[in-house]
Amino acid sequence: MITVVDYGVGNVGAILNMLDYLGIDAEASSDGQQIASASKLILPGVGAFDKAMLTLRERRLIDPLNTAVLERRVPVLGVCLGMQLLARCSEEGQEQGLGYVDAEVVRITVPPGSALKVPHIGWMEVNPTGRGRLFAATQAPERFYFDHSYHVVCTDQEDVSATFSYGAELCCAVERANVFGVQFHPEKSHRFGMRVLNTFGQLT
Amino acid sequence: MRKRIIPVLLVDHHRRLVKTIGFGPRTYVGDPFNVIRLFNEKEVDEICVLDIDASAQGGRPDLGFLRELASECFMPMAYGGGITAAQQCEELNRAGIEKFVLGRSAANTALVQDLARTFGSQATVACVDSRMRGWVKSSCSPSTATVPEPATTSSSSAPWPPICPCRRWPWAEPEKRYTLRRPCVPVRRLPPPAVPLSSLGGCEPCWSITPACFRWTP
Repeated sequence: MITVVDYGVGNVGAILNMLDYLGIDAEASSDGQQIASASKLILPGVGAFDKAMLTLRERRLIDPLNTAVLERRVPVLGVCLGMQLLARCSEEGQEQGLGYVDAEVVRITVPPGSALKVPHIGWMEVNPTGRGRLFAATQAPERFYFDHSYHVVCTDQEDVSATFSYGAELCCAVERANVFGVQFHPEKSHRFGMRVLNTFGQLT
Repeated sequence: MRKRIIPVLLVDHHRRLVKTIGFGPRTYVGDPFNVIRLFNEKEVDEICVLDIDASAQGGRPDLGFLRELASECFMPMAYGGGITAAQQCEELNRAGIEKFVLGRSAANTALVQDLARTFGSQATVACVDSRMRGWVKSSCSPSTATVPEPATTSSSSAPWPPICPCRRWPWAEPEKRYTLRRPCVPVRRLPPPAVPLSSLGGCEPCWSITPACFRWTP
């Protein structure tokens, strides 16, 4: 059973529907106890970093998340802003992140004069680094739907499990022990997103 | 940039999927949820849902319905219809809509700029209802833009394209009238980021694709 943390930021419906389509048991929950005792967690999110952290705090969900992720060490997958929340802090706001990954979130900078835009929205192929369990280095190229202005910069490059090219090679997936994060939207990336969610669902 | 296939679905105020002929007579084509599931299977790159009654009836986006639709989409979803304020787009964004399509509100340059700033110009789409015959006055000041009558009166009561083409569009020269005849907007004259929309009918020549839709680059 995967518990999708529903803290009122963004639509968790698409993630639940995709998991349902894949035949993976999932439920949305905003209940602290349920989250603390979950066997697997997905942390979604859209919008601003501070607002999301403040909402998590207001709803008293940070301690349950810490219990599940740091003490019980259940797998957690941060999606989009959810991935950024796993970092220590963000340039976008003042709030501290959850700090599960030694990383910070910075705004995407594109080379001056390039046609690249911020926010980065659209489909893009990702390059697995070969580290981690969510992306196998040998698999066929996969493309995902991105929608973000900030990206995660890991202190330890060993935590990066996939990158994408946008002016430079930027991190789009992190993985550290039981903590996983993807910058793109697997729930909006049909077959490719299903593969990621399925792999996550089958982790033990 | 890779080519994208973006089906456009027209829904009416009964939340039914319809197809129109020349903005007039409608044919019911199915349940939007089923059609979105079909397009999930087809792995289209994006989907665009236009509520063709929202603006005409002075309505607002049907948030609950759109939230459910967006939940069914395994691809990004654009929505147009009844968008008049940036606040609505924030609500839509929370409901799972990634892109916003402006029809008559595209004449509101402040709104366009606001949306482009908040969500990015990639997420802001202007939509032009184009017909085979008629006039579009390319006066470039939207506040003073008048909506000229079509050259030939149509029996349909659908509003004539209510927005004024921006000066940046290559075929729009100030104070010059344009007759939209076949081809209404030749493909080669589309600005590079433009995306002519296909309809459920499949790939037809560009002159029969309507509405034509252009990504707005303010």
